[in-house]
Amino acid sequence: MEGPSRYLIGIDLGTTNSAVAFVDTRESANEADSSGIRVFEVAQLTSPGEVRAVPFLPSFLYFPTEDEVSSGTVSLPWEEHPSSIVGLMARDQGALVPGRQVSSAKSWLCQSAIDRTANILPREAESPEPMVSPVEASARYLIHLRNAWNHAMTAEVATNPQQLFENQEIVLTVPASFDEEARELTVEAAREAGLQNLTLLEEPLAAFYAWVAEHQNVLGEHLRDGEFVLICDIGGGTSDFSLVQAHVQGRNVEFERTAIGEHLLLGGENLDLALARRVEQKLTKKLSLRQRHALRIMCSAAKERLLSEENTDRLPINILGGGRSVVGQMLSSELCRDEVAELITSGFLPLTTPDEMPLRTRAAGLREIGLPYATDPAITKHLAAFLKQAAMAMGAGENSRSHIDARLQMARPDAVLFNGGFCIPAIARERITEAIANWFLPGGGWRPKILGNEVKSSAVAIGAAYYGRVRRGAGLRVKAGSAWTYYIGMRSEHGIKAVCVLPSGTNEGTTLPLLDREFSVLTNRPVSFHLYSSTIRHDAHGGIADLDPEEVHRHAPLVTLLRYGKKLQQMELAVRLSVSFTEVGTLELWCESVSSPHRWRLQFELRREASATDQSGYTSQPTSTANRHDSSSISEQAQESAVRLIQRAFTGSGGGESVPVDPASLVGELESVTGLKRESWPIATVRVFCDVLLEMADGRKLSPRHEVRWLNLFGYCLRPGFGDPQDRFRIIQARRIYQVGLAFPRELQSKVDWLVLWRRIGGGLSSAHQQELRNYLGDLGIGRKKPGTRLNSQLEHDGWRLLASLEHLSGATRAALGSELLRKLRREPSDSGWLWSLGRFGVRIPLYGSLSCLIPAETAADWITALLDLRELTHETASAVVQMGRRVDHRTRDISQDVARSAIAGLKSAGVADDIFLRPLHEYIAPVRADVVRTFGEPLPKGLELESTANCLSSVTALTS
Amino acid sequence: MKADVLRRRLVEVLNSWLTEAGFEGLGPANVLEAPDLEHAVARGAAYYGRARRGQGVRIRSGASRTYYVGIESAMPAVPGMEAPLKALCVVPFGMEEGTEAVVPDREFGLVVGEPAEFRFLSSTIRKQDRFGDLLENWGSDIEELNPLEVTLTLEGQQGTVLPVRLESRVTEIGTLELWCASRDGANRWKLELNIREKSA
Repeated sequence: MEGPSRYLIGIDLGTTNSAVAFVDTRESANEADSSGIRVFEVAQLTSPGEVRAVPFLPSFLYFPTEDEVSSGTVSLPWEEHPSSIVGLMARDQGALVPGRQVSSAKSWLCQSAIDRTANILPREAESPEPMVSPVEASARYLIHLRNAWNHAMTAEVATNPQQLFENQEIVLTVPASFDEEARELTVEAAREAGLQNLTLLEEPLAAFYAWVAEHQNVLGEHLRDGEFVLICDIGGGTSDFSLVQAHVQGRNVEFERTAIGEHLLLGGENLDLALARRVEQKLTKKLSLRQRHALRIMCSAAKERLLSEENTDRLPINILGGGRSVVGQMLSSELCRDEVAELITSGFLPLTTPDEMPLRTRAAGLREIGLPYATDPAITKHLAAFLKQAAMAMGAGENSRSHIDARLQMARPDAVLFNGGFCIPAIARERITEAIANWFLPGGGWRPKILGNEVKSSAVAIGAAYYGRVRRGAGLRVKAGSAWTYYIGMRSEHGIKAVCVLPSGTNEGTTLPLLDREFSVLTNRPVSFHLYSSTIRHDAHGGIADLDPEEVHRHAPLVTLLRYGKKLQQMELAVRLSVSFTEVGTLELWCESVSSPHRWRLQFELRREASATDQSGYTSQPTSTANRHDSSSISEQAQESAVRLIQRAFTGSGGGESVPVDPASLVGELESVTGLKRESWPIATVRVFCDVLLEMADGRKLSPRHEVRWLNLFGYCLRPGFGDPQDRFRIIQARRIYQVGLAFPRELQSKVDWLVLWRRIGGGLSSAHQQELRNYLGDLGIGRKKPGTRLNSQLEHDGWRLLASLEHLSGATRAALGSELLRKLRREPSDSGWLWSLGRFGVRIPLYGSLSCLIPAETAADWITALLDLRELTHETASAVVQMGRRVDHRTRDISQDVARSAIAGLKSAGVADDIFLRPLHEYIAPVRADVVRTFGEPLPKGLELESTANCLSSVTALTS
Repeated sequence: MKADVLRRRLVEVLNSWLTEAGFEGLGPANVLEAPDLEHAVARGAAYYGRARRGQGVRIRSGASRTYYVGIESAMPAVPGMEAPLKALCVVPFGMEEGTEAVVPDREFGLVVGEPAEFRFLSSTIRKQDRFGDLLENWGSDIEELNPLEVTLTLEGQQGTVLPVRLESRVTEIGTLELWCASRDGANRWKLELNIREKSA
């Protein structure tokens, strides 16, 4: 990054709508109020085939059907055939096909009961319909914003890539109620979208900033020191209440969070649904899904007009009648302002007594697995409950006593700041104000102050952009820091004893000094720590506290593997904890060895399978972490000799004093100077070789023998295309080689090694590059019909291996390719090349791809059945069956148990595999390195650290040691 | 009933009721010959045991209604409207006693650690519903039975919703056992409903 970015961008990643606001630092360097902040109009599909820019982006994801993609009705200016679309059309089209639409991804992001990184959305999806994780869905919204921005700025971006969206400073907002895990997952989504320069900001604070931006010079007139502000944020699908105490002294403003309510799933959408229901009753006709949806959209639009236009009292509601008969037959009704107002005031905002708490209907014992929607629609009751909870959080302290109504045991806010779409109509804000006034002084005469005269739907994004500028030193900073106090649990006989590792109010970008306390941990075993947080307790850093389970939140376990010592034995090691509250606004915990300079990062283990950690201590059972292979080392000297060998091999005979090395014997000579067989070369060494080969790339043009050796060794040294931080850069250079093509395109061995190279580094290629490879192979007649071509068998085999390795191709494509391969297998049932490729096409756990590359479980089962019917079974058949049928304990990914059972029986009776080998067909066995190697097809570099899970065989660990 | 005089007296009384109601009385041929009255029940049970092994005549009885368990749907709250109930068919019409079935590919949320209400429904009309069907609209075809209020427990959990799979079993003594099995199979809870009585 060269210097600070030109734009400061604020993103409100909302549950139902997202918005972007930005500051152009070149334009408004002198102004520090809200006037320089603009709302970005997001280009998006608004209806089939129509792209328009709108100041918000509905947070809905829709997977178009193949017909929709091929007909071009979902084409975007920056992507002709998108696999998913976001925005207005995604919202409206998707409502008619719930199985293809993801909504409320953000609310799923904070459901700790589910695996938030697993592909669980849409809930209604049925295999093989595509599914994504809540994280992935959030990433796609951000990717859409990024693409829309970069498209709008095409001219600027073309001349200066520094102006790409992903290179700007970005402030992303999250609900105050998001816990550390949800915050971290939000960051993960942003990273997936390529956003590097990121800071998180809580939504209520962003809303407060938006207000501050408008009033920064007259702040004192509106807010006095020590006053309590209720931030009442009622959006499309969710309500969040927070109570903060503002400390205002001149231009010194502090924002002290007093209480944060839970993330309530109740908002404007409930109102739209209620209105639609009301009209439906008037129609006295049963409506179809499509009609209901149309009705809801009409009611929502009518509601907005009725509440904002003074002269409109009633509006007609017309929807197309059902049935095949007469075109244009309408169902007509109307909606009038009084109805809407009545529903808002009595349905959602009834004037209740302070003691009326939200009704909890008796819990229905069995329910659909879905979001935990609030059951009582009366928002005012939820607000009363929140103010009671806030009073408890405030305790009996000196400064809070005057703000707690002793009789009601309820916190009394001095001022209210409204935010969110539901609060845009004045009637909603007036009603809430009235409800609050009535609670504290029923006779009238007192009302809380209202901050701001109106509510803007983009306020949070604007506040976020303003905060971006504050971070640059302009405008008014509101001191806030971490909302939580964090604790690490300690071994204790009873209750929760914990040490405070981060006090609330700690500012972003702070690293706290090491704690005095030492922890003893077992090395070379996964270790878990228990993290607790509290908004109520305020302990000092390093303080020991007995925590009451009622007042703390227990997080997912923090897991790490402390790799230590040459022999990797288990031993007790004394560590201290170091804690940072990062610039991004997330917590980072490190274990530092007391006796040596080693440190290890602690990370949340969010996979549900791993929750069976030993609760009483700090150690847990070994998880699926791949076995570490001791990286045999190569001395500096040996490495240098090796580098010279490579240089000499690819320097022409006129290359000066040194004797050239015959490329055919290069590998043998490298093995002898390093003293290690090539399978044992550590990753650091092979990547050095790789860089030398890139320098010597022209040497491959010397002769066909040079080219073959170069391609082969280069691919070998860069396999699997990722794992080292610099690999992205190496892949870019490899791509240049691809563009140039073969120097000896007629040589068979060159052609073969060309395919081997791309297979080996395929994991580092983007999906566009993989698509390109697929087309390249298709032109050769591999994976695509090309009558009359007669292929060399070796070329054909390596072509199919390459195709099967391309995990960025869609599941549908891979299924079609595999079916073609199956035909070859029927002719040559024991061909190990075909078998390996088929197994790879059908994998249940991808090597590096996303789960969308998986073929449907039914197809995998069919292939297995077909394999078992072959006239000859070999161990390779068994190996392919295990790849395609291994259990992952996932509803749509597991093949039917009947097929698995008959596969086990068939392979055993053929004597090609034993029980142990076939066990993964029967039950979930966490994958180990051997599985990675089998799927990859050859050994991986020593020392390449991989994490294997049920969803991906080779995620690289972030552990450093 | 071993004494002949008692048996005769009973038939006499029955016949007086029957003739009063306009039917023909029971003749001696209508009274089934039953040997060894003292051990009849034990012998019958032993015979049934053998029948279960596949030998002998087995008297089968199937459910005379279709039974459903209520599933609350997840939906945003709307004033004046309860969260709609869906009905999951757990005993199809005619499901035989002594058989069981598992709802495939679908998980439901089970409330544990707090009192919860389980609602059951049944129908004498809908005979076509298959096991595992989830109904949203049924008009007056289905009637609701008395709900079951239970607190299912799991150590350390209070008022949480766990994903479970459902299995149902109709026992030989005419009860419906609805089993909720946690995802990892480690925990199972049973809900029991007498369905023979209801159909009588």
